[in-house]
Amino acid sequence: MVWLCLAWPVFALESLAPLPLSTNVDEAKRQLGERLFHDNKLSAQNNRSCASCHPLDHAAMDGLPRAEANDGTHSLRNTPSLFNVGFNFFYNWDGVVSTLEAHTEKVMLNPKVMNTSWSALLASLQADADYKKAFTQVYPTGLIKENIVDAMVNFERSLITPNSRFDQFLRGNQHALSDSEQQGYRLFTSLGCAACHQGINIGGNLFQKFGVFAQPKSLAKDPGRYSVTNNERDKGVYRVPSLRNVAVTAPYFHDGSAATLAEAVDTMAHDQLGRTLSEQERNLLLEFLTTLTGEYQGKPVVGGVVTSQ
Amino acid sequence: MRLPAYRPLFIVAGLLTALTYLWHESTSPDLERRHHLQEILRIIELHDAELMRDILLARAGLLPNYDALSKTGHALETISQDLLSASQSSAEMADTPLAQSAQQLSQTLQAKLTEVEYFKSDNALLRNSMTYFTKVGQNLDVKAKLPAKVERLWQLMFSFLETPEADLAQAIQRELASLEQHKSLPPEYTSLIAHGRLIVDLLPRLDVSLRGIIQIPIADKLAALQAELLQYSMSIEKRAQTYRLMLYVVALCLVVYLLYQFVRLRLSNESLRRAHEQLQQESNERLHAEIALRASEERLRSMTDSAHEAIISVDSLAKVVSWNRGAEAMFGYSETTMLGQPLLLLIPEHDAYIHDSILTRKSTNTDAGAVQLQGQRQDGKGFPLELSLSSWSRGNDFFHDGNYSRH
Ligand code: HEC
Ligand code: HEC
Repeated sequence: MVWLCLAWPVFALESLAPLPLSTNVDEAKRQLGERLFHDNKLSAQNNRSCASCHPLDHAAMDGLPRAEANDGTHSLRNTPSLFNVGFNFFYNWDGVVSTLEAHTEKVMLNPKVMNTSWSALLASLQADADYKKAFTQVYPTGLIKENIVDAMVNFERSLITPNSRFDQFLRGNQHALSDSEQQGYRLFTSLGCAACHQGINIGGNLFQKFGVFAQPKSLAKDPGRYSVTNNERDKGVYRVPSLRNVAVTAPYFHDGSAATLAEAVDTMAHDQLGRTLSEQERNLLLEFLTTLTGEYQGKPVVGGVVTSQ
Repeated sequence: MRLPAYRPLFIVAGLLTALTYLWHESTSPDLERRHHLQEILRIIELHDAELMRDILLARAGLLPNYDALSKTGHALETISQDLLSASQSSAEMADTPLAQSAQQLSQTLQAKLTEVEYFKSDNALLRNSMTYFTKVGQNLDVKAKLPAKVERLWQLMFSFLETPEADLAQAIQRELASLEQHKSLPPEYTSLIAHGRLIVDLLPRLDVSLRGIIQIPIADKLAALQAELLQYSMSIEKRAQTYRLMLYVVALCLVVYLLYQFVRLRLSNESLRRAHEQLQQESNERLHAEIALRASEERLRSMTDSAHEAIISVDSLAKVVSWNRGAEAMFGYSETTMLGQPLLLLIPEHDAYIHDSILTRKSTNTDAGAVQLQGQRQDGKGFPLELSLSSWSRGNDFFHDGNYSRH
């Protein structure tokens, strides 16, 4: 008798994973962080808060192709959504830092973003008796730099959008996705999107060249990760972004060069996979991508351009 | 001089100070920090093993996604920062070979993590292209009029995936180039050619990168750091040991000194006791003598009181100090009037005699029998008397007893 052994793995390796339904963030710290996040005191001119560019009722991003720098000119990159930011392993499009703590400090001192200094910020928060009291209640060391960062990071980690239809599907609910959405999911994996966009955040853990098979039309000369590593091979390399809530976070790419998701998907297929999508393939992919929209505090995430700051 | 009395105090205080200092120096320094470092090294070893496992799984296509690998990389990055700060946090450790080793390990880790990041990117691309290539191969499009040779491409590719050799790569490149020449190529074949070129380009590079990662001497650096840590621990333990030995010696000195002082105290106590006893004995003897003297005086008094002869005692200044009844009868003076009066009152004509025999005691034969003198009574009448002189001393006083008898 001959036993035939199958060479293919019989188990399918699931490259995508659902988000946890809750985080174990300290509630008092989260609240303090939320307050700071929405406070204009964090910017030197007292004219913007984190929420100006990352409004939580607009998918935690501003909906602009590129964020407005402090000096009023469009010179920043596209604002990423802060939802599920805690599941990324690198931050910013070039992955310049790998901890949220480091990122928070960086964004505060960045002259183009908050443009503040720790001494000025501490002074203005110290002047607020309410903050002083709240900090001493939550932190034994009171109102100091490390605790401000810690509160904000705790808040950022709490920004999760679980329970998307796709996550329900991953958790075993076959009816959470329609047939065409399931087809879209299969296409997403079989085309190779999931080679780069994988993991719990469907991205956020890998660097890739933007333009593996063809050069994307890029609006600005951005060295990408080269500015971090100074390594030739990192020219035009970016962090693979998370695709969670992607349907509501237009426009797309580091420079906001894709206004619609369809455009972004076409670009991806062509430039990253060397493929030209059929109309049907694209629609299936788009259908699938809309199932990635989750809920923040029980309400579905919605996007759109922020008109008033 | 008071100093000698305080000297033992100074010596003991000095020894105690030395003891305190040595005790302080002999405690094992940096113990907590060394344990912390040890712990960090253990964690690095663990995470590094985890990282290597995940890398090999990823290369084999058995890693579902890069979350775990990224998480481990993240943990290693954090712990390598901890290592740096832990090795530099104490003044004793900074600039030691230990700190340098720690810095080297941290740098090596950083370099490895950078390499791993590139490996991840390349591996993701390669796996994707390999999957694509295999899939297209599985449903080879028979409708398309392809050269029969096209099957050779897959054979070559599978061999290449097994052993990525340069001649195989060239052969594949040739096949791909000829396929590209084919007119009316279906679109998936255009992609196939692109993916094929990517595989040929990437696979050797990925394996070089993988070999590079495996060869990054984390284990060596860890071992070196372990050795340095051991060396460092031993050197400071040895120092502490020396101090402990000195501590023991000084403690011994203190004990010996205290014993010496104790013995000295005992000895001087003994001699003090003896001196005290002697003194006591002396004073007892004195007391006895006093009592005996008192008794003999008493006896003398009772004796003289009863005598019919005049018995008069004078002191060294020839003043009367005792006066008996016989003297009262002979001279007429009462005892009370006479005590303290000069002897000259009784024998006014014999100034010279008093001077010679009593005041200056020139004539040595004081007890040499009686002398004939002219006495004078209270009523002024003179009468001849016979005086016999005897002397005795008590302490510094010199007493003379005159024994007068009337003729
Ligand atoms: C001017 C608009 C603007 C403001 C204000 C702003 N951000 Fe951002 N934020 C951006 C942009 C643009 C990026 C992407 C930057 C890049 O990649 O170079 C970004 C990126 C981030 C990221 C990284 C997200 C990721 O996944 O990589 C975090 C976290 C973040 N911001 C937090 C904050 C916090 C906290 C504040 C308030 C202190 C803040 N931002 C204020 C525009 C803004
Ligand atoms: C080789 C890796 C790779 C593959 C394969 C890949 N992507 Fe991407 N994707 C990226 C990178 C890198 C970016 C960020 C580009 C930039 O810098 O703007 C990106 C960005 C995107 C964005 C924009 C996200 C945003 O918030 O701006 C979408 C949508 C997207 N990809 C979808 C897809 C789809 C759908 C597929 C499969 C057809 C796919 N990607 C395949 C690497 C990849």
